Amino acid sequence: MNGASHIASSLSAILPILILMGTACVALMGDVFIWKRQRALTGIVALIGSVWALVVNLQQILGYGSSEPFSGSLVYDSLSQTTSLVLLIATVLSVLLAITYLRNRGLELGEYHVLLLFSASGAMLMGAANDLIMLFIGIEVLSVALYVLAGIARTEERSEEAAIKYFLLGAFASGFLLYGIALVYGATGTTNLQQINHLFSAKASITPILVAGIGLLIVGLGFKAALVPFHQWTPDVYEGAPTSVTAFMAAAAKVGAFAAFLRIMNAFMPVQPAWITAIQVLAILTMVFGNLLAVVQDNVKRMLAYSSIAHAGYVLVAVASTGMIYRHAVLYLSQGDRAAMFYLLAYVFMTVGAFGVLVLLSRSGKDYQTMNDLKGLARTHPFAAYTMMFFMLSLGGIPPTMGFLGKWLIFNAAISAHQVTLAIVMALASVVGIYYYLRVVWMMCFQEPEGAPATEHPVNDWAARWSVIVSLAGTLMFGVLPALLSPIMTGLYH
Amino acid sequence: MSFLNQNILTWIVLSPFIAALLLIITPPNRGALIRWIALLGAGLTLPLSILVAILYNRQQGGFQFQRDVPWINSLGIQYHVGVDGISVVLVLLTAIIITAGVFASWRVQNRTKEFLALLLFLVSGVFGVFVSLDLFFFFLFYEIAVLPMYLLIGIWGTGRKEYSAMKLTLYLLFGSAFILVGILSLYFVSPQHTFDLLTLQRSGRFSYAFQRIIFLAFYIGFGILAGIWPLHTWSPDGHASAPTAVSMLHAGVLMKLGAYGILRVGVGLLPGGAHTWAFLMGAIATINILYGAFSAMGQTDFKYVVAYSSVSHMGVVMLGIASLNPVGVNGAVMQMFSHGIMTGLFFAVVGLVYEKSHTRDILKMGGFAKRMPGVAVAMTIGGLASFGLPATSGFIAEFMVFWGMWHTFPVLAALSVIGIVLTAVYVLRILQKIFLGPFTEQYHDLADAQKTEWVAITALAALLILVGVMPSPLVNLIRLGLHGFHLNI
Repeated sequence: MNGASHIASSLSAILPILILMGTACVALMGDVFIWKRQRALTGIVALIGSVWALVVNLQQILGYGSSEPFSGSLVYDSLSQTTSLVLLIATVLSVLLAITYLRNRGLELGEYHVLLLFSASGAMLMGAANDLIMLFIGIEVLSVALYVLAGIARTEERSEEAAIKYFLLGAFASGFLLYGIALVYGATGTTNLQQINHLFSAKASITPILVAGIGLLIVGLGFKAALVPFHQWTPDVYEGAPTSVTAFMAAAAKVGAFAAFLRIMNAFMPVQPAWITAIQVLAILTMVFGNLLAVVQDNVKRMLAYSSIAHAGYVLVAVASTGMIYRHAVLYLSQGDRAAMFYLLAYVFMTVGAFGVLVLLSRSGKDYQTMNDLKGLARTHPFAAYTMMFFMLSLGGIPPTMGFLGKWLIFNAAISAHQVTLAIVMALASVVGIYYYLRVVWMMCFQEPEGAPATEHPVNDWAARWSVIVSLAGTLMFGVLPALLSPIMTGLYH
Repeated sequence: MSFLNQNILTWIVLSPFIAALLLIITPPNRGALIRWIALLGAGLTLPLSILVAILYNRQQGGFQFQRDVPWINSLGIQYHVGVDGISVVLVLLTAIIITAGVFASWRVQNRTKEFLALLLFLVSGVFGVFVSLDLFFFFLFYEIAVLPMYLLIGIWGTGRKEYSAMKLTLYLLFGSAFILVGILSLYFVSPQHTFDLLTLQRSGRFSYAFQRIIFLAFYIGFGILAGIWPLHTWSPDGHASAPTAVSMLHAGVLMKLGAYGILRVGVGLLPGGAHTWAFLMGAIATINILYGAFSAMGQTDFKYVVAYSSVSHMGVVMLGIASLNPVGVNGAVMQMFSHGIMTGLFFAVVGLVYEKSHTRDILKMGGFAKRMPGVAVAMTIGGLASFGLPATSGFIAEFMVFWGMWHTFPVLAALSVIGIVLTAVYVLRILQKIFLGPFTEQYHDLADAQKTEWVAITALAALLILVGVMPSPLVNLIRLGLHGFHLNI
């Protein structure tokens, strides 16, 4: 293949990322030079760009092609395309939320949407990375934009605190990751994941330097995915950051981190004994502590932060249950990978939906955050209350929602991979989860509203409303008819 | 005809569900319309399930009215429904109880629409469990049946309702975690990788060690819902806090889901495991019977008496299953039916008495028979059935259970028969304290049951006697369902 056509095919493979980055640039320039103060327009441009990228991404998925653009530093297979799909759905939903939230809270800043799009493209790059260096670039693009986003409510102290905490711990995690990459390079002589896989498939030798390298990689990604015991930043950052940012952070950062987990663990599959115990222990700790700590929270955002930690534990069970390798230069996904991707999609719908309800309720004078704010919501805001109830049931894994089916698939994968202990711990931890999700329902439905009803005039909340409705429809539709996803997930079967 | 044959079960499951959806879009101020939609949705299941019972081909036996639609092919999940003799009886019971339950909640005023919608969602799940022949759907419907209870008790309940609602939900979902692990283990160990109950039953030869462990998981998981000691404590609290129709449905039908699960999935698929643990099951069932009866004797709250009597009677059901012989298991299913009707009647009476006297403390009541003779008669019939007086449905059920148990574990049978005496004590005690004795003038505006309430309690009381006098149609139907099980002869 000659150079020009290679570059052309490479560019067409990463078209969704290019569209996102291009839109971000257009939005940035437009916001500064063309439409200046009309900030709503920036949001609309970002929305159009991300929907466009979503459509292109869907076309790519249904084309069932796979390629390795840029001399094998990226790989476009079903895993990266599905990851992109999940991320783009999260992006579209978050942009919609942001349009409402920024206006209601008086934070209309053009750079918000720009940063959001850059951050999403970074996460997509993580899913497509076939090289540890590429992976690192993806993580940094994702994270740096998120550090700024967390602190975007410049007048609020909590938001600033969240940003600085996230930045310091995130930079620390990047250090671990980079050191891990260096050690893996030292052990294998390459940073290309596919080559690493081939190397070990031929001759699996576990050296201390390799184990240390993999360990540091897990620690670094563990920070990003908020696994116990690397989760300490999560509740503070989730609570302090503006709610629309939290929604995006909870969805995109986690999806990106898990895509990277799946990539790396698939590459190191031949030396599974070297890392499987670490993943198992992390999964158990994450599920147990995430759920137990969520029980005592009085702030809904903090509760959702711990619940997102617990959900990371569930996805990690799926990661521990992967068991397929590169065959004929194509990545074949096992049940674990499929379960993980399905669950991540469900998680995006549920989490963005739940934060979306909080966004929908928030006004300039009041940010809905604590359990007390939700008291009697069923009487004052029935739409918000009943959709919130639905997301809580889905997060708790109650049928007929996507959350239930996702958990089922993970159990399925775990038991088929003989990870019975993990399956049992997960089942029991989920029961604890039901308690705090139902507590939200209880506050909304069983308690009387507190204080005088809000007298503020109704605001233009169509965007957040649509985001919540789409999340609701997704959670319900794919929960009842998962077969609808099969054209997308077929790539994951083979 | 074949259209009817294939779809009638689906309609039974869907009819309450569709009514619930209709209720959601009905404006909340149309009270009468809301009640009629609910009654139609629930009531339609009654003629349909009677039709199923009539059309069920007795010569052919086995599972009939089957419908099999692939749902998620890659996971071997299909929508497969069908009924055998056992499920026909339980579907019939559910239809009777939900219809009576809608009648009994005719005068719920607080958020009627949501109340009836949740009740119908719940019953849709119950029907689903009884007709499912695919373990995935079995589990899905099971969860749907359990969860609305949280809201029904939490919003419309009385007393310590939040505590009871949360306790009930967590206990039951804790149980379903065991069930889930059990179902998935069956799936992976079976050679065909299927959730299909019939395929698993026909060809799943599971190793003995596997059966022993997984049966225990199912026993604990379903047993929590069936109220086995010592995991029963959610049940009296839950029943006592729940509103009338919910208690009726819960004690009458929902607890039977647990026993049905143990029978269908546990004993049906893992006979080896069942035989290993039979004595344990029998011993726990005996404790249930005696402990439940003693607790019922000590209560002063009318509703707690009835709630503990449910614990005791579910012990009889479990005793019948533990006997693992055709007569005992037949008796267990008969007891499920009989207890379902009986406890539905009890809770309806408790609801009526409470609504009119505003107390549930039996020590403060007395002479109520003077003002509510109809209710008193219904309660007496229910009470007599409760301790198994001949000519009531309770007699034939308990007789078969103890007869069956006598052949397996005579000692347990002898011990648990004491339960009948204890039952007589607490039943007669409440009859005497509430309905007999001097009338307290404080309750001068007591009134007998009215209109729709009459329909509910008369029908239930009449059924208890009808089945008691003429048990053979039901007993024969149940016997047809026992062929699939590996029971001692």
